[in-house]
Amino acid sequence: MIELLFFLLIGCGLGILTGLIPGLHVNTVSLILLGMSVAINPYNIAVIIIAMAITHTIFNFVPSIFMGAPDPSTALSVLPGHRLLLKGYGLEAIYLTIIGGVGAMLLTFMFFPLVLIVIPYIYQNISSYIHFILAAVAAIMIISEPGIRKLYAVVIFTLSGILGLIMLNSLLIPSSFVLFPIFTGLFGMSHLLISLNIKTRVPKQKTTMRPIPRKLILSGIVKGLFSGSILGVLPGLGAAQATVLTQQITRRKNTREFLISVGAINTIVAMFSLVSLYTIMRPRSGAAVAVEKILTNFGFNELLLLLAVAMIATGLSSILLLKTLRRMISLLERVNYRKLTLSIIIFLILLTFFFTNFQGLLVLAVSTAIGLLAPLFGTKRSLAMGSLMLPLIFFYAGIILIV
Amino acid sequence: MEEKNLRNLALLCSVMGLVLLFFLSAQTEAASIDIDKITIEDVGNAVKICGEITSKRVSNNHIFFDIKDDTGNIKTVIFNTTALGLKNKGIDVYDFKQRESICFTGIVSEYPEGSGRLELIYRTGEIKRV
Repeated sequence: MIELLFFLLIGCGLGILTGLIPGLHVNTVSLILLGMSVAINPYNIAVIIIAMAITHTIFNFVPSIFMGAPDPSTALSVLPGHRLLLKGYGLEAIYLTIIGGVGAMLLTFMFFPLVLIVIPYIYQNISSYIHFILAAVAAIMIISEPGIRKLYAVVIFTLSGILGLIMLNSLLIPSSFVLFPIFTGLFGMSHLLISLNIKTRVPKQKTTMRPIPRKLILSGIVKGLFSGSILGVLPGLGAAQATVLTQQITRRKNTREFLISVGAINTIVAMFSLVSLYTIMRPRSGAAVAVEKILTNFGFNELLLLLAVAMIATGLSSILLLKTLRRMISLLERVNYRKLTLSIIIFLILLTFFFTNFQGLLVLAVSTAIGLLAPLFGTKRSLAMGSLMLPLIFFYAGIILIV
Repeated sequence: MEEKNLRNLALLCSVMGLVLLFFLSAQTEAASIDIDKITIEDVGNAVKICGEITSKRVSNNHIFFDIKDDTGNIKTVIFNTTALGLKNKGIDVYDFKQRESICFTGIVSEYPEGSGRLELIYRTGEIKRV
């Protein structure tokens, strides 16, 4: 028990790192941990991975809101979060996402038996229509862009889709690593390059918070739960697309409700990916893929263990974030953001070369170029999820063999 | 650099890069290898083997072949969605029979993880009777 707690704390520590450092993704660290599963008990590695993934979902709103440095799952929260930040309510913005995350975790746990029944039901009933659903989500993502940006959105979605189609059907890079340079380029590197040219400064923040009505909390969490539970079960979709869906169903001007929903979605998608692994034997996140590979006999006991780990990690990381938030903000105000960004860029290039050689660097360059298009054209970054969505649409439509 | 120029440059690099990746991928083939040369170090890599089917099993439309060459034997898997897709493309792998000689391209995989037992999983590339 103490051993598990020790590894859970290691996972929380790693989750704080991946959450706070833009561009450093849970999947990257999971891959490294996967390599350690020969030396360390697989259960302990799985505990680290899940604690890390959950802690990441709590902490990654800090760079997205305070530094404008999101990962794909928090990309859409940047603007509403910044709106509050500019009014001096940055603390409140983070607080709202924590409420969403903790609330979602509690709701999922309360309705756990129902979730076990609902997930296979959702999957069985819509699995034949996955390509239509994916296409519809893609269409919503494109149509939700204003004016001429719809056209740019089509271009970005198509180019990233072609990249995915080429690379997922190629022997150029080992299949287990092929997504690494693609996602590092599309979402990590491209954002970091843009960030290099932006002077990030955190304005003076209010230390008090406004009251948050219970009704707002409940509706935010329920809307997040709705989007996250549907899209978390489907392949190729995740927090980014669930957020797009939530944007359509939350009152657009209610930033606070939206941030609660986004906080809820991240945690729900991480939780549901584990439940999906058990109920429909389909991992729906990088962390769940790693767990599936480590625990080949993943059953109900393993699910309960990892859900307990997720619960504890949510509680621990939320308390830790609340306790350290003020100090963290003053640290972020002092950190040399440019140096930090440059170090991460170099680290990601080295890591890509280590995993995928020169071919990987070429893929990284191309995916970075495509990833740059969204911020340069002023469209949503999540359109680059076309790299996974388009191949999946083709796969489920029977046009291509593999994804 | 002005934002518009940067935008055009990124777009150009994206298109040129995709064309380059397309041609590179089309020309990349898995290395042909003797079965006894496949080791745990190859896990995740694609290899091509040519040999005789010593056993064939179909379960839930997934196909499992044991293939042997002069140096050894290995288990291979073609998952149902891939097998049905190949069938639609005119390669009916369900029709491959025991004692037939085939060339099989697959990703080396260790299953179960940590067991040291290797198998090949077909994803893409050459698969044909010889």
